[in-house]
Amino acid sequence: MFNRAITGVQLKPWVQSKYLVQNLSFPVRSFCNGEKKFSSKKDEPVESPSSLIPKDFQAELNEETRCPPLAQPIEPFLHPIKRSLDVLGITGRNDPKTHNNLYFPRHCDIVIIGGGIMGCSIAYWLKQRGHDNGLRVIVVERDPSYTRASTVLSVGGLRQQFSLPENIQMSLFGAEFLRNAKKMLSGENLEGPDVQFHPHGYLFLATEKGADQLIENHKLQISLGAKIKLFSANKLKQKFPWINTSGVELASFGQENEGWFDPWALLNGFRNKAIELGVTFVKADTVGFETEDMMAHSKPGVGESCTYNKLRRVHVRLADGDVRTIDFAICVMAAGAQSGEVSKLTGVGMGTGLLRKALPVEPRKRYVYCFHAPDGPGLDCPLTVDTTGSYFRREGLGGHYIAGKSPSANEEPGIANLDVDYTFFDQQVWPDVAHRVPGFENIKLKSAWSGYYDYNTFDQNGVIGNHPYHTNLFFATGFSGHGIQQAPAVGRAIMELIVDGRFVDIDLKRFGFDRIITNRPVFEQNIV
Amino acid sequence: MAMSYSRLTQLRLSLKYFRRSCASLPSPKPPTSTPQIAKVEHGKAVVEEKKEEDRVTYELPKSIYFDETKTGFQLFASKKNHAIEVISIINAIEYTPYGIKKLWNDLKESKLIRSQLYVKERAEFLGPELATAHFVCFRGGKVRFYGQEDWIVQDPDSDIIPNLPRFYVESYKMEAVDCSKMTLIYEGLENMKNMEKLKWLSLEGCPRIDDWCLDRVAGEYSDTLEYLDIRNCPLVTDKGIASLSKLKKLKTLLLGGHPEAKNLELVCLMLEETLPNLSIRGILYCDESLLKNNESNDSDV
Repeated sequence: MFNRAITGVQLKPWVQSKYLVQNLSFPVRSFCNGEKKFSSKKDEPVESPSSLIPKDFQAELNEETRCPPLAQPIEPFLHPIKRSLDVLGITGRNDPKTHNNLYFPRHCDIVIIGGGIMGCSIAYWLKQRGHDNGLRVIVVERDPSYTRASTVLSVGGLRQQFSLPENIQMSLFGAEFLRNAKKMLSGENLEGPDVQFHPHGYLFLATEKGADQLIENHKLQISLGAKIKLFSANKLKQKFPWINTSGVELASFGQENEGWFDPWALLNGFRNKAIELGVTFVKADTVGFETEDMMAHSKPGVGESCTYNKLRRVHVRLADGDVRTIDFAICVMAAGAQSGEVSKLTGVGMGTGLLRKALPVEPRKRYVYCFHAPDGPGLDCPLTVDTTGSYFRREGLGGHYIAGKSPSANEEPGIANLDVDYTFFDQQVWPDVAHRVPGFENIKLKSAWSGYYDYNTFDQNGVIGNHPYHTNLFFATGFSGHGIQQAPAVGRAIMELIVDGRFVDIDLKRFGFDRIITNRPVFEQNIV
Repeated sequence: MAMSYSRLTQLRLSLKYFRRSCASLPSPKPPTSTPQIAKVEHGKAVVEEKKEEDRVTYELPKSIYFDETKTGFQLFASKKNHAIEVISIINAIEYTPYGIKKLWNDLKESKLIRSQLYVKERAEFLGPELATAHFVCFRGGKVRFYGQEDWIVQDPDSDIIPNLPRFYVESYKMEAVDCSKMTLIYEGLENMKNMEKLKWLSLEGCPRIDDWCLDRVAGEYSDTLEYLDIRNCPLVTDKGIASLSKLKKLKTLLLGGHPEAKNLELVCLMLEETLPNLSIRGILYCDESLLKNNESNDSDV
């Protein structure tokens, strides 16, 4: 996989630059047994484009793709004297409108919508590649205190127990990055983050029905370098005496590189390092995009030249209601749970042809409950995912535990606010965890919180890649609850897409936006 | 008789292909047939006429490259990833003291990592136990096998490791590994995998052992390890020690000298609860002097 450090370009020491180029060839050797880079094209014969699209979409896609009229160009009024002073940097330093107090940037190379873990990770990797003035990156984040962001409200789990090879590889990279986070994200006046990784592992329990799927997943995970071990019900009882193994046929436990960490620390680490590398963070809300008619030149014999609408400018509204514009070359949509809404502003889902399908990401509220159990499992409690879908893990050393559950489709809570429904705990979560661990029968609920998943209603996996019509609009969203562990890998993948034009290290072609248009979901095989 | 083209012609042709490859992206390789220069044939110089078919257009329809994104930056990208060289040449070298120090440290670090990488051929040739032995002894550690009483250690004057076979011998099974005071890193621990019956491990005084390394140790030897010594490892915190609960057969744990570990006593109490056979040495659960003061107060009253 990441073998550039060994076999790659040999650089002379005096040519190497400030941000050591070896950082780019990230040493992911500890789990790399890899001559084999997973490529989705290896096994299947190359299909002609017309056979990729199911029949009922042919009509839709044969129609012309037309982008609806987006925001009208505005000339924001800037007082000429203030503007000159801003440009000269005299008054701009104290301007509360921009977050790090520079004059408001009017143009950039890459604008990143959303400053959560994905946005900050992408900004960091882009600036790592683009150095000081190579790439100008702006991150537009509407709430720098992150009160409702999914990142800081997440449980912070890291696991490699997936069924898709891309997910496993991204998590392995995430683990490697977290291990080196302190070194990678430290700077001249900056101490790297302490991500507080608790290496206690994930434990997935499966009934008889799900045992085959678990074994299949396990084979794939082992082949990619994850260290997972399978336990039968008896062995499980020996290893974790506090568990009730009724109904459990098989369990898989992550021995290494699995556990939970502090997402706040990682977010701050990325953000501070990005600011040190020169990323501008703008505190504003995205309200519109502007397009410009561009000619798409074609070669003789391929088609006629036509015009298309290229995204050129984003309108952002500052805290005091002022609407300003930012010109960009490339836009990255990393807005988390609100990505579906914001991408409507670009015309995705509002037009015809390739723009007919909207980005299927919407916020879904999930609850996390914290309780105290004096007879609980103790120190070796991993993050256990029950056969019913409920999960629990230890929190701290005082006998506190965290639990939650994904509700079924007809029980989805409303997303208007982040209030917690405690009856969900009494009716759904507690019976499951108390059945699994008899020590949880005597508990006291201490507190709870809720956060939004950036839920991909299509197939619950991330959308990573550019839109086929808006070729300068990249998506990095829709991770449906497992985004935090994949953030370093996704940031690097988007950086490679933008600068190299292709995925270099982990092949994430299957997670592109195209699957939404051609209606080919890529599902995670959940264990029952 | 072969004809050698002049150097100038070679340069002219290579420049022509280079220009063409820059103009259209990505471009297929130019035709590798011999360039149209005078070829000696039958003793006479014959110049091949430039045929109409030879004038290949290097601009093939873009629909072939449907899996590659088209960005302007791609002008700087190629399969061999020349972009790194381009950017590093364009950007200035960091001459600040911090930059130079960082450069030097990064170089040393990458050298250390490369020196401790997992060598697959060694493990395949020697088997996992002997490969570990060679790895550890070469770096100044000691090992002991089942059935032998003496530690195997490298002779400090010469580089010879006595009593250690250099080919696969099945009967050698590792019982104890002593890595004290080695600069052992996470990537190095991968060399010590797949040992069947390791009972004794000492990582005392290793400056680079941290929570992730302990996670690796706990995951690797979870069924067999009985003695673990992690005294004076400054990077270890209580989270790493908590992960040692995965070692089900652990009997003795030696601790001490962990300035980062905040709730050490509590973690150790909980660890002893989880692993009933465990005895932890090096932890003071209560301060004896406080007890003595209370007793003297009581006796006064």
